[in-house]
Amino acid sequence: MFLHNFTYRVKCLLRQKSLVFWTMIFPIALATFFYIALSNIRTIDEFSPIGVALIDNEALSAQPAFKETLQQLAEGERPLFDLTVSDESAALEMLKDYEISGFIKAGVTPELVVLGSGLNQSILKNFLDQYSQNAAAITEIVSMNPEALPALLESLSMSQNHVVEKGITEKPMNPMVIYFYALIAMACLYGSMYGLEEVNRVQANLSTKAARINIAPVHKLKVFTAGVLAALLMHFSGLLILLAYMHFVLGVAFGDHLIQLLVVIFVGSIMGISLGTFISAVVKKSEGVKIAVVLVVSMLGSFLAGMNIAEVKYYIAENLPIIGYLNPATLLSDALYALYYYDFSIRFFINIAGMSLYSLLFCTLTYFIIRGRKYASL
Amino acid sequence: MPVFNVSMKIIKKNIPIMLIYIFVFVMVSMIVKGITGTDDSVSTFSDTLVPIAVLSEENTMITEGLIQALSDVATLVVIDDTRESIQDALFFRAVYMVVRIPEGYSDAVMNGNPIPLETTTIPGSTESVQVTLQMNQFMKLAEMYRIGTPDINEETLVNSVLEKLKNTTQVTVAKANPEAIQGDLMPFFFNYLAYSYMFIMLLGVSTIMLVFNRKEIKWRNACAPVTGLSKSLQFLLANAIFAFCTGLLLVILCLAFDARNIFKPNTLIFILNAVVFGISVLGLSFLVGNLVKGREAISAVANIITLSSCFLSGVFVPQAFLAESVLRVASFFPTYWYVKANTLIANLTHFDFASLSEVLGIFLIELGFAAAFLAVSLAVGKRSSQRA
Repeated sequence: MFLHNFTYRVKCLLRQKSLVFWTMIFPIALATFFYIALSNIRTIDEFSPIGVALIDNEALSAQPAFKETLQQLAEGERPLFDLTVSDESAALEMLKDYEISGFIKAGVTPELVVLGSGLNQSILKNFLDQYSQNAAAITEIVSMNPEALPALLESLSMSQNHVVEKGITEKPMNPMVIYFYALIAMACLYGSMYGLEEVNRVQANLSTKAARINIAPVHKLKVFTAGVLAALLMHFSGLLILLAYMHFVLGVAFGDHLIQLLVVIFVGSIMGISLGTFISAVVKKSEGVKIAVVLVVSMLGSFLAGMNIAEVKYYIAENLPIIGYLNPATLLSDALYALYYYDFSIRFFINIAGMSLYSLLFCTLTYFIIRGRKYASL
Repeated sequence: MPVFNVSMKIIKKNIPIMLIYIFVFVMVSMIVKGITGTDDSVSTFSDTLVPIAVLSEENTMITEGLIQALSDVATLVVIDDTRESIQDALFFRAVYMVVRIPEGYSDAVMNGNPIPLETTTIPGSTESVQVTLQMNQFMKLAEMYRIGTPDINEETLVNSVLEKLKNTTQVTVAKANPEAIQGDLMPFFFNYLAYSYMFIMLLGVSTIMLVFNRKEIKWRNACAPVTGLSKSLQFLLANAIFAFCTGLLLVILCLAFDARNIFKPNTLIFILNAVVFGISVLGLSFLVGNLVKGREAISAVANIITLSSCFLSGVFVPQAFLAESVLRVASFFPTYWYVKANTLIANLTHFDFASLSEVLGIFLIELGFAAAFLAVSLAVGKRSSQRA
């Protein structure tokens, strides 16, 4: 009997087009859109030599050292500048076509011409600042101690690096994965729609079909469990398809822990469905209102988990950590983040524990609300 | 005008759902405005500051001086000195570099035997270049003063170095036209308008059409003493008013969020672009309304069409960051042309015919889309009415 109920429930759910759309097709479509929009963004903060033009004028001929310094910085393995020497009108054209970030007019004090503010422009300015700062320092020191000049010039000619870079992790720091993790969290919470459906089907005051099922000589818990398990099978399969699509087609990285990853998705699926059963049991309004509550919880949750702006997740974690811990979507996306960035850490277990706790809470509350109801009339 | 009245009634009933998308627009605009700020003026240059964290293991005049020097190129963010906190901050770009000043650093500087500063960065990032330049410059100046004035004390050294760091270069901003638009906010708002506008129109128009296309109602209307032309015109009028009001509301919001640019000529052209886009979206909505069957499908179809066209066309992420192949596909959506026109309009500094010709060309393309959508939807509508 249980198997019969289960099989037919799976068949029924498969034929619910809108359910299949929102829980399977929509997340896949959204993942594709994210991929298209975000694939080029990760290269933004990677350094590439800054395009700069040096104006070929009389002042420049008078300062061969200035030109030489710039040329040195444009050479080597990791050049700072991509240098062009040209006349002013050509440089202005290049500037307007965004080929260079700015151009430099040599002089007693060099002048920088840019189109607007920006990091590249600030680096150019910083370089020129240093040139005049060094000159001012030398002038001041030599005026007090003329003998120091040779030593100063020697110290100036040695380009010493006083900074040593110390890596903290071998893991890639690609924040774009947060968008995909939050999307998986959303897909898990969309499992609530299955939960809604299952409660609607067995609560006699919610649908005529439920009224009919309630008179059948089967234990209500048995019917309900069969339905929920069918929903779990459907939802979990959908999530696996989503995960496989993200990983194999879109190339989203999830770390190297397959089993743990599946655990996150499985617990996430249970959490989503139980959230739906809970909402359906506790909200005594029409189905439209229940769906609205589900959508608000899952969309707001995934927004706070960084689905629309990845930095939101960090901001919440830093400033309002309690919201991060209470938000089921954050727990889920953080578990995925922990797997990807921290391997197998305590953070992963805390998140899984939080998700399991939520699932247990939702299931227990649902059970107490929907069990053994009697109706005088319907 | 019974058809007109019913159409308006249906729209009124669906206002709460549509308001959600207006609300989304307002929320996103406020967040973006909060992040971007409004002080980015075209006529003056300001340094772009890099967020970094400094963890100092000693507190001396030299370390204080170094931190002050860093604050010229960076905003200092406070983070916990734990591995996880540093890793998280770097991952989410809350900081681009963590600088650790080791113990004994100041003594080492004074002895002429400096210990290197330890940095943890996002490997290869441009931001870290800027901060590294500044740290090296601070050290270089300190070293020069130490060599040049052997009996210098810590306080004088730091003060002299900081004094020298105040020497800055003159920066000129080319092409500063006071008539041109200020900042990137206005083009962003107008681009984002495409998302809310398209969604609301698709939802609204399809809902009305779904009612009128129901078989029983169609039959009933066919025997009503109102001519087909009158019905179509009333229907068109209702939808045009709907499109106009929605567009007007969104445009007012755009202007309200970036009030400093309201009286710029660019803004007027942005509005014209939104009007032309509205016409093409109206055409698309008619087509979709003729094709969808069932209420549940409307929301699914509207979501997919809106999100796909907005993601591909550069509404959420600028077109400059999208792949060539993606943009080629996107050019089959009016949204792509709308965003492209907005980008051009944002960069306009002259407003003669020659400068405007490219934008006007895009307006024609958008209108072409409207005509094409309308023609196809009429054909589809005719076929389905013959079937009914």
